Amino acid sequence: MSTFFGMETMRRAVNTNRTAIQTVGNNVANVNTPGYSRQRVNLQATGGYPATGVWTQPAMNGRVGSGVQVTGIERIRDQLLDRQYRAEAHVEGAAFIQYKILERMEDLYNEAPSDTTTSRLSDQFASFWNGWKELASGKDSQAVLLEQGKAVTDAFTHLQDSFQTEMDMLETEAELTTAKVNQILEQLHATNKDIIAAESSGQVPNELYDVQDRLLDQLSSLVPIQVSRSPKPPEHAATGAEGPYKVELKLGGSETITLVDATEEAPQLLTLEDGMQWTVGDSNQPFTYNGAGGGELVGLQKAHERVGQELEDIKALAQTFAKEVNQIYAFAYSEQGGFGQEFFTIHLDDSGAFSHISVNSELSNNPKALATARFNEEGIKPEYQDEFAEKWAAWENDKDNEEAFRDLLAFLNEADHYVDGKMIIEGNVDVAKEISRLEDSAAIIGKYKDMMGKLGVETKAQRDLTEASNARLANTESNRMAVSGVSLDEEMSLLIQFQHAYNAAARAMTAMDEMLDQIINRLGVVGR
Amino acid sequence: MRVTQGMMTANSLRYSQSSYQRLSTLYDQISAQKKITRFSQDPVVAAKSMQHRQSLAQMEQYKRNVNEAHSWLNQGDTSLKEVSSILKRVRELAVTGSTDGYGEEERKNIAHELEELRNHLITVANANVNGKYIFNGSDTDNPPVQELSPSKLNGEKLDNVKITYDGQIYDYDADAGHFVASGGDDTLVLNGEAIETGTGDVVAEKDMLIMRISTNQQDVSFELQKGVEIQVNTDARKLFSDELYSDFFMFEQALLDPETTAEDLGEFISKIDAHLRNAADVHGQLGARMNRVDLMEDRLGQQEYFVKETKSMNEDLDLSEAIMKLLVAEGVHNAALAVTARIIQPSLLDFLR
Repeated sequence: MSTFFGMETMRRAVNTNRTAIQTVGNNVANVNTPGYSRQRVNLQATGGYPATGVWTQPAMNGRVGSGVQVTGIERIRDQLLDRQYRAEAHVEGAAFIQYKILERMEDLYNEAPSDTTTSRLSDQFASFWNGWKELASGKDSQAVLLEQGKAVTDAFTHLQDSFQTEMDMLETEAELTTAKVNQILEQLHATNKDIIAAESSGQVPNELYDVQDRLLDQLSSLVPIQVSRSPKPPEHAATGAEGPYKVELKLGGSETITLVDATEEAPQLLTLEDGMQWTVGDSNQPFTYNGAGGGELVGLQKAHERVGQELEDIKALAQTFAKEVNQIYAFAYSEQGGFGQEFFTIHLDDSGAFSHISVNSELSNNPKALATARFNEEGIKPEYQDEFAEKWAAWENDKDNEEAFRDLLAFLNEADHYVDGKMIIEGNVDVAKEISRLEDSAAIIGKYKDMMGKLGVETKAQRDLTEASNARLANTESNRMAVSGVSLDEEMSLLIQFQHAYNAAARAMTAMDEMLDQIINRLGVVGR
Repeated sequence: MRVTQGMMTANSLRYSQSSYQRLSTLYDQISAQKKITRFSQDPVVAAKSMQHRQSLAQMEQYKRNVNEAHSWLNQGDTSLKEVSSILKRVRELAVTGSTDGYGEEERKNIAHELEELRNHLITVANANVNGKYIFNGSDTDNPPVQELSPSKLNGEKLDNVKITYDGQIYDYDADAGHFVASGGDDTLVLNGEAIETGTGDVVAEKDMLIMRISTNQQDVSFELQKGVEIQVNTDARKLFSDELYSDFFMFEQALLDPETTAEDLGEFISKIDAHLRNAADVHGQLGARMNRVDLMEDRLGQQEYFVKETKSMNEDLDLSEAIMKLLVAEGVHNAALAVTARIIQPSLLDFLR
């Protein structure tokens, strides 16, 4: 055993404890760093004297320890919790986007009970039907009714425009989110390179692992991913080395596409295609989702689809509404153009698809032209009664049959078919009555109520889903923090612990120093 | 479990968030006075609320229609009362006039009064509510009864025009192009601005009565309850008939004719009686209808009350309950904040000095 054996032991102890204190300091410094996992110094007693082995016969009883050493500085993290967190983040990401958009649609309809709002579609409907009832009670309120008609078309157009705006906004958001995903992928790839370089020189780049884990947390709330360590760190790597990440995009079923792989030159990036679909890298295969999981991109895709559906539904409703009113109004006699006038004009866009509805401009410019008198069935000459009955039945049996409808109107518009002056009965308001009765027609009001009910239930379900997912995410995050979070109190305790160890080791070294002093300077001075 | 400051900070944040959310929901509820402020909070309540709103909007309109029905029926009632009193007066005159004791001059006076009453009867028949003629079927924009002069007939449609002349009523025969006496072969011809007899003599204006009485008998009915329509106009064709005005006119003519005997005049009494009975019939029908409208109004009022009550039970907030909840939530919130303030602050660091 060497003279300086003890000195060496204490030197190691002082160094080691200083490293430990340095690590404590690093933890304290990063107490608020997002994604930081606390680090621990792994201490290990160094080999004792004499060393064990065949050739080293024990020259003494027992072994003297030679102190302590740092075997590694490890980050404390539970990979299982990471996996749990990311699995939940997919769900939460998708659910939140959808919940947000459903709630937005609900706000646009604003059909919840309220005594103050009067601008929603159901109110406009009510005023519109009442307007016809008013006319049916012989009041000269044509101008009022036309304004109410305009209010209904305005409400429809407003909803359509709003849904279209929402869709446009979702598309913009999808673009931004795609860019964010790609940015994260680039960063992951770059960090992978750094990790490989560090690990192959025997280092354990804890902060790089942390950076990657944080990026993956973010990524997993955007797209569904599956993560593995690949390749495994080389055998000669230091303890605690984790290796680079391989990130795969989860498709339907068990199918995956590799996004980031340490062996590749560059990551595979996502491209947003028309129709809210994504392709990965240079593949033409669109990125599709499966089941409830998803992430924000999938949430955006679903939300976009949902709003698109709502837009179609509200358009269909507007069209049905206009058509049903028109079908009855067509039988009102107007001085200007006989039977077959339109109350609502149904506008088409350039491609011939339904665009929007408005009140017939000829009527809104001239309210007095509004007709309420129905054709007079009894005024039809006896010899034409059979022909009338036939045409009426043909239309009544199939109200969508445009040809039968035109045919019937042509018949009704022929003055010769009536006993002189009996085309209509003066002051008749049957058409107004009939239109006001549409209020109870299942096709329009029932459908609107169904749409509201569906939206309400869906929003509620999605909110519950989001809240539940949120809570689970918070719990997992809490569990994760319980493992990886820095506790100042704990660090302080450790600080004191290591400080004392450091001080004590220094003191032991001093004792050793004094012993040597005794031997070197004081020994052999007897009788001097 | 290991608990760190970071966890406590995160949790306090989360708890205070949800606490604020609860407070905000309660605030929404209390300021809107509604249990829910968005559809998804309770889709069932919201859907019912939509239904109730629709019913109430309908009732609002029915109430307006009831008011309108009242004004139609009341006007009809007043007019018919007036008709009855006119007819009663005419009957008195008929009774008085049909004695031989009255001289030529006195009969002439009676005839004058009759003419005035006849004119008044036209005014009554043309009674209107807010410019709508109530006795003209559904054709409320035009007066039902018009007295015309020959000069006004030219170029007009003659369909409903009837001429009373020399004790007969002449109807227009569109095919023949002249007026034909009902139950006879006598004819009257419109020639320019004059009416000529079949033999070509011009009829003096004072000797005939030309009336146009509308034939529109369409009901005017208002919807006063879902699917229930009540007729509000009076079927006055029965009452304001050609015969009514003709009988008046013939009575006048008879009074002016010095050769008329008291016995001849007496015939008019029974004619007037028939008109009186007619008026009573029409009036009775109207009265019954007024009763129905009153009943409807009553029922509508009750219905409205019930719907409002159900609507309120469905969606309105129980304020005291909400305020209790608010107090509890507030208490919890304050406590949570206070506790947060206490646990976040001290760390071991504070004691290591």
